Order: sequence, then structure tokens, then C-alpha cells
Amino acid sequence: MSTAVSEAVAPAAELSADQLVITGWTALSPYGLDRAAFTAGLGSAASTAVDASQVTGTLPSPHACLVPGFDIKELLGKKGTGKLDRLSALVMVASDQLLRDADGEVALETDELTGVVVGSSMGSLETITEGMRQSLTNARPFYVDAGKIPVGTLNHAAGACAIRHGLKGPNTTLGGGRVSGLLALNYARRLLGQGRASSYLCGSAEEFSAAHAWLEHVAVERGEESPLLGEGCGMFLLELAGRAQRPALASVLAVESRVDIDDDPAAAVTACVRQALDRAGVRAEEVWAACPSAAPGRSGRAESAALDALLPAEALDRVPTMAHIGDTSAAAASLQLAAVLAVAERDPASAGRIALVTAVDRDGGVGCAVLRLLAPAANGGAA
Amino acid sequence: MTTVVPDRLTRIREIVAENIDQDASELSDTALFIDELGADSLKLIDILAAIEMEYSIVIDMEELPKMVNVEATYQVAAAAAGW
Amino acid sequence: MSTSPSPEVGDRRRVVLTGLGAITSIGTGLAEYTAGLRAGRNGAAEITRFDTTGFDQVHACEVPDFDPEQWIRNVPLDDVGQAGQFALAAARMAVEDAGLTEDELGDRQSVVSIGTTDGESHDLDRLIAMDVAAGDPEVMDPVLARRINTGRLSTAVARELRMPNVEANTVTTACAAGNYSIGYGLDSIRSGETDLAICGGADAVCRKAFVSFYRLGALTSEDRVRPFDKNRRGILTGEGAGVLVLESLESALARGARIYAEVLGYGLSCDANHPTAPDREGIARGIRLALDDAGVKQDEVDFISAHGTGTKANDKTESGAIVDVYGDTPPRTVALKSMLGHSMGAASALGAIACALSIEHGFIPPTINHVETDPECPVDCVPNESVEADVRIVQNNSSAFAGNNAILILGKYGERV
Repeated sequence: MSTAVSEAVAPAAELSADQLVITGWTALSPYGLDRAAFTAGLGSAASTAVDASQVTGTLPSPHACLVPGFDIKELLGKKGTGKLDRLSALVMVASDQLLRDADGEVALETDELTGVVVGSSMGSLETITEGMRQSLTNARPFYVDAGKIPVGTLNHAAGACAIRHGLKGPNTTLGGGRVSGLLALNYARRLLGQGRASSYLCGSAEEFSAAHAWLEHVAVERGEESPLLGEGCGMFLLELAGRAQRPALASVLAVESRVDIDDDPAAAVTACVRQALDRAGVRAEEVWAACPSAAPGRSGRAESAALDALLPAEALDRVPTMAHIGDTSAAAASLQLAAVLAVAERDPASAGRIALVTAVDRDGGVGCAVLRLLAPAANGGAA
Repeated sequence: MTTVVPDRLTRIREIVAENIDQDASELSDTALFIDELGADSLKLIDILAAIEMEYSIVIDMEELPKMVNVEATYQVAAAAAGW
Repeated sequence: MSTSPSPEVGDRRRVVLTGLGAITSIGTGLAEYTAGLRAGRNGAAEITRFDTTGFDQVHACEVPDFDPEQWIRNVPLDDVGQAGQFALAAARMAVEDAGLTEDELGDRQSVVSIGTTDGESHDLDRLIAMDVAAGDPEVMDPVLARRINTGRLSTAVARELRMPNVEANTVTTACAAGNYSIGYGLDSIRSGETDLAICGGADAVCRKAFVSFYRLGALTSEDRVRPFDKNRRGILTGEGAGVLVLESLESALARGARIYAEVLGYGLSCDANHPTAPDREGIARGIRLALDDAGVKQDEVDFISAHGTGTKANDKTESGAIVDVYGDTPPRTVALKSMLGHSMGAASALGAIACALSIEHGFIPPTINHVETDPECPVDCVPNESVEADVRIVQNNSSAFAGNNAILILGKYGERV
């Protein structure tokens, strides 16, 4: 597996039957409501920050990177959405985009083993904290909005996605901060490998809210600035190559994670990337595109320094920075994966190349995924 | 059956409408929540909780099965509030 | 299922339980937990964690006399909240019980997976209370704000055990999370990619959960929980942590470890039906998937540790699902929540530990507070008194909001080849 950069590599048809492949993707992001908007926005030089305080009320800093035009009732209909939270809605719209084509017709056959895994740090923090606030301030402590209670359960988004599309396979929600998207990817990889699922909707998401902004603001370490927050959802369709219904866009060669136990995030990222490259059977010099989380603060700086030391400079330049969409927290790693796929799609030279995504989180988690990019845009999955 | 106070009935109709995603103007006071409007027990709790908050009253959960439509819900609220 | 690429039951790597750690309202540590299960202790008492003024319920199943410093050595106590302290203490207890030293854990590649319903929601409750009291969110305590993300539950376990080479995930599938985590550990070891997984669940009594179940009418108004009883009224919230050391059989045998039980299999199903109501078909499908995965037939199961919350809806629906799979004479079906209350994300992990202890010690724990079995719950719930029994195969149920079901099957090691 020491394929040199210049060599041609196995096309999708030659993948082993049990190879995990990504066969579809979408991204709701501060660049826009869908994959096309994400691809178009990626690489624009300006920040997507807007004055969010007009919608949310007082914020520690007025700016945030919101998914523009994200109107829940418009996107999901009026029925049953009255109490729906933004996080679940992001996940549901993303799942619609993967499972239905532009005409709303089914784009992927699902069965009783179609799985859903969603990475999310805290569910809908806005819904949860609003319920707490009502309990503390209303005339009686149980005067809370009952319809919001299920929505304030941490696994609501994944469950709502299953209800919407009738997906009865393994349904899981994972928390891991900025690493959430990679933990979800590895979870799906393992369960597909063990035959527990036939295919997977896998992604991670974050909603922007005043509650989140204030909690992040007070949590910031002394000497650091409050992060510019973003939101969004990156979601992927995962299948095993031998049973894939759609053309493979990328092979997932390795997903590794570690925990920084010594408050040395650079060392943890370095070890994790080396481990992932080893597992994937590729050399650091072969990496064609890499996308770090660009997390704010010390951990993000350590991540960048570690990748600078490990990887070819042109690989790091190939994927536009994620800084323009803010710190998208639990959504980050999935949006990074989406960015790598978007870059691959518009560059025919990407076919057969290696891409890498890393994540690092305040709570100590680090992660790295290694992909082999397989298809140019013409061969892509859902439009 | 207590005498119906129109303002309160209107408000309860609005609360029900809000919680089952209907237009208050289109909501009949006799339409059955579960059988005709597709509500479930969670929605009924939603309505009960919203009425409790609106009028600062407490309605026993045992009353839930009686709340079959707007009219009956009004009566349950009236009994709890002593209207 | 015929398209499943998974290896046949007989060809798979076998996975065993070699260490257990339990922090519960009826006893902390394995000896106390075992004694509590055998005696049928009731963990319910008046709530101390938060102010219950304004509620007509003041009970929950809190862990009494928890001393974090007895267990937690490496992570500063302020770095985690109450749920995290429970998780760390139970993890420490489990690895010590397994006889694994920090040197043996070291850089070994492994999985740490901790399940939770509410994570550090108690801290979040306190943060919001600070904001409300001052009318200014700037006053929220940064120490608390830094530790609320659910991911920390599992990364803090890795830090406490000084294990850097770990995939740490926190499974937030609410009240089924413990079984999910154990199942993930099983799959990780079966895949051949690791020999060791430290899995379980943790939650702390918090106002959020209490208010939620109260508002939904799922909290009993009594001072006790009565699963499967004709006059059951609902749950009491509870807390604690259960952590299990899962190890490949080869690894366990190579180091001469004590083996409590073999993890035979598990099943995950999603109702895809309703955000809160339990679903008979979904639960039954989960049970069938678990039995298939374990290669176990219905008549081999000695007892079922039910999800058994004590709500009208759950116990009736779950009993129905059990009858659907097992027929009219299902195995004895007990509800630990009669003793422990609903310890949320810890519940099925503590259930799994109880199953392992019942195999180890030869008894079936009771369903306490039981007066009259509901005809709609046609199961022998082992009312009030535990029974001595040669327990070989046990099923551990869990279900959660969002329609998430996770069913685990454990067996006596050495019974199956």
C-alpha cells in the first residue's frame, strides 16, 4: 500500500467488498442551505459572520456565522414543526437532501437495517436551557413547555430523522465536541463492519444559540478571546463497496482517535495522525489535501502546528480554511470532511489521492480520518 | 357544566391550535383531538401544560382523557380554575 | 438479515467481562451492590441535590455518601461534574476489579465509551440559575461552563486512567445509553482492532430530568417505584454509574483474569415511530436482533432484566414485546428500577452489572414494592424477594426517548463453545 503520489490507483470498481465508502454528502453551513452553496462558498475570502443579536437577543459578541435562510417551517413544513429545535431541523433537512432527489423522490433504498448516527455535543442547548429558565422563573417550577421536553433530549435529532424517513436500524447519538463527526464516522464504520447496518446516514451538527454563545464566552480560558461561533450540519451516506447503491466518492481508509492526557494537544494530534496514516497504509508525503478544524484557542493552534510539521504544505493549502464559518463545534469535523469532498469534486486531479481531516477538542479528544478520493464531480452522488 | 366565558374559550382554542399546529380560525370546538386532528397523548400533555401556565392553575393529569376536544378541554380547565 | 456480512457466531472473537464498577443508590462497590440486589434494597429518599419547593414529589434515588477522593486520583475533581465523578470512580473501580494496573493499561489501544442521558445537566441547571439570579449571564461560573459538554465524560475517564491511545466516545442515547456503550465495546473487540474496552453509563440526579418526567406525568407521586404492579404510578429519577471492563477472551486468559461473564451479543433497533412513546414492535425487534447476534434461543434465557421503569406505558408495552418474542411463558422478568429508580444513562450499565453478578453469585434480583401484578404485564417479576438460581444466560433490556432500543445478552463463561 505504498502507492506513490504520481501513480494511478485502484478505481472504485476494484475496491474490496467490505471497504467503507462515502457515496453521498451534503452540508448545511454558513455558506448556505445545501451542498451546492457549500461548494460555491468554500474558498470565498470573507467571513460569513453576521450580526446575530438581532435574532437571538443580547450576545457576548454580536457576530456569529449562521446558516442563512434556515426557516424551519419553510424547509420542513408547518405540521409537526411548532416545537422543533434548530439542531434537529438541521439534521432532518440534511437527511432529506441525502435520501431524496430534487423532485422529492426516494434517492436511496432504505431497509430495516439502515442506520443513523449523529454527533452532537449537547443536543439543542437552547431548548434545554430555556426549559431550565422557565422552571426557575415561572410561577410554578413545573410550568415548562411540555412539547419541548422530547426535543430537549440529547438524542432527539437522530430519532426525528429516523421517524421522518422510517429508518429502523441502529440509531445513535454521540458526543465528542469537535471530534464528534469523526467519532460518528468510526461508529458507523464499526457497525457496518459487524453487519448491524446495511447503510448509514452519518453526520454531526451544531445549532447557534444565545445560550451556546454565553456558555462558550464564560468558558474561555483567561487570555483567549471569545470564539466566533458558527453552526451547521455535515452528513454523509456510508455504504460498503460491495453493496453500494451509488458510486463511491471516497474510501474511508482509517479513522483514529486519541485523548490528550498530558495537556499537550500538539503531541496528541501528531500521534493520532501518524497512527491514522499507519492504519491507512499511506505515507505523510502522499497526503494531497488536509483540513484541520481551525479550532479557536490553544488547541487549534497546536493542531495547525502539528499538521504543518507532518504534512506537505500544498496539502494544507488545498482546502480553504474553515475559519470563515466560525467555530462550528460538534459540526466541525463533518463540515471539514465535506470541504475535502467539495475540493475533490472540482479538481479531476483528486482521483486516487489521499485526504486527511483532523479534529481537536477542549475536552481532550483528538481524531483523524484518512480518505482516498475516488471520483471527480462528473461521477458524484446526489446533485 | 359551567357557563362558557367567550374570551377564555377563544384563548383555549388558540392554545390548542398552537400546540397541534392548526389555525385557530379553522379549529372546531367539537373536533376530536386524537381521532380527527391526529394528536397523541404527548400533545394532550402539551395542551394541559400550556393551559396551566396561562391561567396559573394546576390540572390533575388524571383529567387528560377527558380533554377530547376544545369544548371538553374548556370544561376541564374551568373545573380546575373554579370558573 | 441474510445479506449480513458478519462472521458466523462460532467464528467470532469472544468477549468477556473481567472487571465491574458500580456506584448506586443501594450500594457503592460490588459487595454492597450485590448485597443490595440480593436483599432488595430501596434507594429512594428525599432529594438533597436541588430544591424541590413547588413540586408534590420530593423523592429520588440519590447515591448516599459518595466520596470521590476515594477513587479519583489523576483528574482534578473540579474538572468534572457529578456525573463525571461517578463515571471516573466507577471506571477506577472496574479496572482495579479487573486487576489491570496503570502500566498494563498505558498506551494500549482501547475504547472508552460512556453512556449518558443528561451528562452534566446539574451543572447546566446551576449555571442557568446563576444567570437568572443575577439577570446577567456574565456571572456564570467558568469552571462549570467548561465541563458541561458530554464528550468530557469519556475523555476524563481516559485521563483518569492515564490511557492516551483511546477512542473516547460518549453515547447520548438517553436511557438506553449504557447498553449502547457496552455493545460498541463488544463490536470494537470483535472487529479485532482492540482487546480492551471500558464501557458503561453515568448520570446524576438533576432538576432537568426531574422536571421533564414530572411535566410529562411519568414521575410517580409515591415514595417508591412499582414496576409491573397494577397500581404503578411512574418513575423516580435516580443516579449512579456502572462501568464494565470488556476484554477479548484471549487477553483475559493470557493474563489469568477472573471472568464474570461472556458478552454474547446485542441488538439495536429504532422505533422510527414516536419521540417518547415506547413501541412494542421496535422493542421486540431489538430483542430478536440481540438473540440472533448472541446465537441464543428463547428457551435458553434464564431471566430478563427489564427496562421496567414503572410507568403505565413502558411496563405494558415492554411486557407485550417480551411475550411477542418468548410466547406466553417468558423467562422471569425483573425490574431493577424498583430498587434503583431510573438512573438514566447508568441504568442499563448497572443492569448489565447486576446480570453479571447474578451469573457469578447464582441469584435473581427481585422487583420490590410489588403488591399485585398487572394483568397487562403477564410476567413473573420475582416479587419482593430475590431467588437463588443457577443463572446461565441473561437478557438486559433498555429503551429510550427517540425510539432507541438496545438489548444485551450475557452468558456464563464456559457454558458455550
